[in-house]
Amino acid sequence: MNFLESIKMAFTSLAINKLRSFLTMLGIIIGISAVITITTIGNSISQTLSGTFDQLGTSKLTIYPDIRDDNDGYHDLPDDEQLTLEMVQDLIKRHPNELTYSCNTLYQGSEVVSENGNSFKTLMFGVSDDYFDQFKKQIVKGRAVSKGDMEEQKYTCLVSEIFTQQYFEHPDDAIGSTVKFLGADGTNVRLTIVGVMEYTDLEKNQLGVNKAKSIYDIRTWVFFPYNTMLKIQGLEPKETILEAAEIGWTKNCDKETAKLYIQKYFEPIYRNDEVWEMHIYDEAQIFGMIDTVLTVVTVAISVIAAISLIVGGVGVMNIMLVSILERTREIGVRKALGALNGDIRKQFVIEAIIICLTGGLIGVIIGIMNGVLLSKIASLLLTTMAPEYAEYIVLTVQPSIPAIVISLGFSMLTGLIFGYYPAKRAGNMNPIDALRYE
Amino acid sequence: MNRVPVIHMEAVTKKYYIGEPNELQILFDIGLDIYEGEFVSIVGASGSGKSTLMNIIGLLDRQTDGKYLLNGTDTSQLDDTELSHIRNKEIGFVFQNFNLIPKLTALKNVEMPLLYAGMSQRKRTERAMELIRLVGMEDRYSHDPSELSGGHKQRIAIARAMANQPSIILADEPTGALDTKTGRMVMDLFHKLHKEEGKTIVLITHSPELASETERMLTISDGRIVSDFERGKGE
Ligand SMILES: Nc1ncnc2c1ncn2[C@@H]1O[C@H](COP(=O)(O)OP(=O)(O)O)[C@@H](O)[C@H]1O
Ligand SMILES: [Mg+2]
Repeated sequence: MNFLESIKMAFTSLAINKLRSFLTMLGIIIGISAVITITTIGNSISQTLSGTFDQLGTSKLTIYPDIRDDNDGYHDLPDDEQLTLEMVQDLIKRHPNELTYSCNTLYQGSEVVSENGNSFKTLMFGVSDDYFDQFKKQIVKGRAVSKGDMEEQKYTCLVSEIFTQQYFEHPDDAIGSTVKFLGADGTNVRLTIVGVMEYTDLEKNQLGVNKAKSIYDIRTWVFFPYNTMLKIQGLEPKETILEAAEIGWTKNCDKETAKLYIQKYFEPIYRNDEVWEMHIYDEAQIFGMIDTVLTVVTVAISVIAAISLIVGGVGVMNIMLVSILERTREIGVRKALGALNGDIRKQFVIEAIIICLTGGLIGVIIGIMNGVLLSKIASLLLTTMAPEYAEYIVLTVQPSIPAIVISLGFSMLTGLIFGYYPAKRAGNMNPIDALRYE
Repeated sequence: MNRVPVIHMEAVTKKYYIGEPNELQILFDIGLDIYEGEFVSIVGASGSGKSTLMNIIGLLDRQTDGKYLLNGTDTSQLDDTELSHIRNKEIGFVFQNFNLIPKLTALKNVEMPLLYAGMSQRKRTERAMELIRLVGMEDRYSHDPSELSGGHKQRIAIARAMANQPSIILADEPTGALDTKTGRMVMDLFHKLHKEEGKTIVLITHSPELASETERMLTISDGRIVSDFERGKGE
């Protein structure tokens, strides 16, 4: 008798006792649905986080001098030489095709007088050419600060749509126009607009765009080349002290190697420093931590599920023993008609496996539904309670495929293990004893 | 006659609780030859050992001592798998209580021996329908046993017994649970199988009338064959 026939036969006999089959499955359904719910939520969180991090572009390491972990609490004021632009440039020069850096610093606040005489305030940032790499979407006209602008220390800048509305009578004229920025210290700078960007909701919130009574009350941001800023300040790289620097890497390198290069570069500089060390901050580490927490939760749930599978399995074994006793005569008849011991054994093992697998499948479906439902609730909460962040968070609902496969595998295994003994007993029954059984 | 008997028994005995104080011997020194195409009835008091003998013939049970050859094969050497194969191919059982499998249609019940013979679904259905027509049940093939009368059940059971064209049909009181009229119909069916299909049939019955219709009648008393009457030949 072939396998397919056995499966058909198993379904037939399970269909006869629908309620009992279902009750037997319950333990397995509960165990599996718990695991799938948790793994769906966990996987969705991971996917959402990594999607969000991708969007925020955390493919960079931030380095900054920090107090050593083993410091006794007493330390001097920050030393002037802790992190300079020269060091960063030097580090990059050692691995020119592998590492990149970006700097962005607040230059100063300045005042601008618009075409029709209104004055308003801006905040000027010196940024490197890769600053807008992650925010390309926000540039609506023109371009960002380029590498050429950086190297040739050009007087170019990128402003926002709000700025163009503040400054120009016809905001479309913006690109190519030169604007005079009056510094707080009395100096002034003329910069030519090469690009226009729009703010995200989050940024608009920070700037108080919606709360402002007049458009001129909004203090917008202006981005211009970092090197141009240095030129204006008359600073050499050696004299330029950075609070922090962002180190990126090219395709020829990866994060771990980049970390190694950074450690190697700063090791001799900080070797004898008792207070400071160069700290490498990796935002993705938080993601890693959340991942670890999720893994722990998943493992804990899996252990509980394993216990419920065992309990469910014992239930299956019990019901199989009862079913075999009830069907002793049937077993006798089948044997009289030519069934082999193996045919009978196969029939009951497959029945047990199908009970467990069906239970597992129902569990998976319930689990996925739970997971999707909870994720939807989470997304609803997010969009109603923190709408300004919603844009950044790419909410993904993604059931964990490996968890599903493993769960179903374990369901089958449960059926096999707990069905085998009853099935073997059925297979080995003596035909005449089985036939005469009352 | 020097043809090989379908069933050949020599000094077959059956004991229960062997070696225990309550040891029980049911069959004593059974010697028996049944030839192809014979229609044999076995009669005897209740508890005399008829079913026990039948179960040994049908390879559902083993004798304690003695020799039993089925179609010339010594059955004492066979393992479970070989016994199953022989039951499947060579023996057709008809029981007093029908022993149809509940919740399976008449058709599926008839298909059962074909299933264990490894026949494909299409061929099985074809052959089973043919058998169901043979026993005149074609309008009830899709019914469950619970929806059939005793006489109908027994006809389905006979169709099932015929499925793999066995060399022998063993019927243990097939009319025992039926009224006279339906019992008559079932008996007629056996006669038909015997005459038209040339089947070898061994039938246990309580009814002297039915036994007298067969060409050979064995009488068992307290585990021994006490008479072997062949019609037209005398004892
Ligand atoms: N498994 C068994 N254990 C003990 N005694 C049995 C067993 N099977 C049958 N017997 C006994 O064997 C005797 C003959 O039984 P059976 O062959 O069924 O008689 P019959 O079919 O002629 O009425 C009975 O007394 C019965 O109790
Ligand atoms: Mg009997």
